[in-house]
Amino acid sequence: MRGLVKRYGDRNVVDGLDLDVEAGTTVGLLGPNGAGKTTTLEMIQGLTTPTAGTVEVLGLAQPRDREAIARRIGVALQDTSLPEKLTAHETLALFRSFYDRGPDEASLLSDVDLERQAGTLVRALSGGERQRLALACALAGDPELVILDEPTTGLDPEARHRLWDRIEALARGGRTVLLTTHFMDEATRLCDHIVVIDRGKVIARGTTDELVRTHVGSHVVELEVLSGTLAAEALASLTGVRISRIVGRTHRLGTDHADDVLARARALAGESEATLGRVAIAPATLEDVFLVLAGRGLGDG
Amino acid sequence: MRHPLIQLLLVRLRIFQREPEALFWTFGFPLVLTLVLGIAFRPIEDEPLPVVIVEDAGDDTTSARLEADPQLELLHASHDEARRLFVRGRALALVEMQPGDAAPRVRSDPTRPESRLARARIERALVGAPSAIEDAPMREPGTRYVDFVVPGLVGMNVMTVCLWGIGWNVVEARSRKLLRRLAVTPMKRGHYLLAFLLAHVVLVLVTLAVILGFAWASFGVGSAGSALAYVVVVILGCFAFSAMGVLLASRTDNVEVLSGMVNAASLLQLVASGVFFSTARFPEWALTILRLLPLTALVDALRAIALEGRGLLELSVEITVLVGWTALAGLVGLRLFRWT
Ligand SMILES: Nc1ncnc2c1ncn2[C@@H]1O[C@H](COP(=O)(O)OP(=O)(O)OP(=O)(O)O)[C@@H](O)[C@H]1O
Ligand SMILES: [Mg+2]
Repeated sequence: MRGLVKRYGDRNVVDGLDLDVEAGTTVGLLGPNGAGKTTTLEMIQGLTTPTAGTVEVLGLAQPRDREAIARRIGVALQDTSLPEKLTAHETLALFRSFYDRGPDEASLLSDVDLERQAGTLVRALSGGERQRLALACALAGDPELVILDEPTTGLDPEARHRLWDRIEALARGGRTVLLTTHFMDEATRLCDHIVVIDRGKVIARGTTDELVRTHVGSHVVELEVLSGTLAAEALASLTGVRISRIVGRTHRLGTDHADDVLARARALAGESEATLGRVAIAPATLEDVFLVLAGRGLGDG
Repeated sequence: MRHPLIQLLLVRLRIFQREPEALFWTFGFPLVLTLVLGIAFRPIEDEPLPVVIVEDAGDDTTSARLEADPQLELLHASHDEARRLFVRGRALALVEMQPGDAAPRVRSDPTRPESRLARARIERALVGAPSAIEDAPMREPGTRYVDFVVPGLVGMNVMTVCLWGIGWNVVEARSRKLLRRLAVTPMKRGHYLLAFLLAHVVLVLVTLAVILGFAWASFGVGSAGSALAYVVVVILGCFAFSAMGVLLASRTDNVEVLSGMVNAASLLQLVASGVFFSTARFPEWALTILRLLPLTALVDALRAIALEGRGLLELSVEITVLVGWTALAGLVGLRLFRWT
């Protein structure tokens, strides 16, 4: 995608987005609510026409080659709704019929652990079961590119893990996956490459490690303050601290030299007569990246 | 302002205000219907009653007497044409001369008040004539009101099944975003709508069998013409109304707007296409327009087959109207059709 813009009213919901998804990789599109993730995916799918910019999918141009693209992609939309009065099996038979090739209904059902629900009407399925059925529909045409908009939102932990296994299997099978998620653990586990967008613009991209290293450091030092105050500015200016954030009563310091920073922070606490509670050093995660980016104005203004 | 009732009321009003289309169909439609009914039932001072006399009658005095009555509008026609005018509701009574001095025979439908009135007027006009009239009520199948109304009901059924069935389902699928989901598959978009059409042809044929079976069993309503021609016309009607259903459902994702449009389209045609009463009440200029409505074409064609035994070749006007609607509404509907 090049210079993608989508304007609703007088607002650019997607604002000059460039995005490359390399074949065979899994790419995660992250960003706060309303960042423009779903809108971006809709333009890739051909559901929405960009106000400006170009979309190229599998070497074909959207929306010109919509049908040819549709044959080779599989999609699970954010607010999926399938025909209520069909059974799971019938739903898959319908979707399978649109494609020239692909697995049969039974193997699609077993892919998403819905064998037992084969004869259940869609409207009687639980939310998570419906979501898995939607994923099975996305796979009905044995797609080269799978686009999943928040595939695991609303799933129980076990179902989420099974779905992760399933998505990883897709990636191992050489499929390209583009997904959005609000779960950092999910992005870390599944995605080779992560793109963080906000207000329609890319604000960070890279692998999880790259993002963590550039934005936070290798580790996070957590300091809980029980009494007294510890000036955030003072902490932030300690040698070795790359970023400092405060969440409730806990300071989180991103650093590449955790032990040194912890020692300096303890010393500072002693000087300021603040009592420390829980103190810990943890590997930095994508969650920290996200909070840092959020602290830099994600969502405000 | 914090009272729940006030807030709930505001919700209703805001929804109205934000769906001006729904508002239009709610307000606009009764206005249009009023206009149409007003034209059909406009007051005409002592409107003459149309009656028909069979032409080959030797005796002119009967004809002259009837002609002289300002309250009768006398039509002259051959035997077959006279009968046609009568069964199609264009003439309220039929006068046949008898050989010799025998009284003229007046055929009327005692189940229709207007027909009884026409009969009484004829009797009065002929008071003092050498011989009184001979009453011969039309009772045989093919000439009664029930024979007239059944093709109308069949047409109405085709219309409602197709308009509601397609309109409702498409709009619901759009509002539930199912159409979007289908639009990102390589599904041929035409297939989706074609499936609706074919399903409704089947549905209509099943209900047709039920309606006609019932009418035949309880009233002996049959068809003078070929059953095949009847079915072909019903299927053509199905095409036309399915296309119209696609057109009405092509853009909105609001079932209220859709209901308004379908109600408007179907009620309007119900009164204007002569389903329950002959369109003879409408002025000539209006009839020209009404003939272009798909329901008029459908019902007229079915009546021509069932009541007059006509064949498809004689129904080129009606068939052209139905095919025209299929093509026009279908093409425009497909062009406007919104998948998202
Ligand atoms: N049809 C529309 N008309 C006007 N504004 C829209 C429309 N669709 C989306 N928006 C706006 O565009 C913005 C981006 O929406 P989008 O659905 O892409 O967000 P998202 O990143 O997917 O958010 P979420 O994480 O909540 O799913 C939102 O602020 C939304 O209000
Ligand atoms: Mg979204």
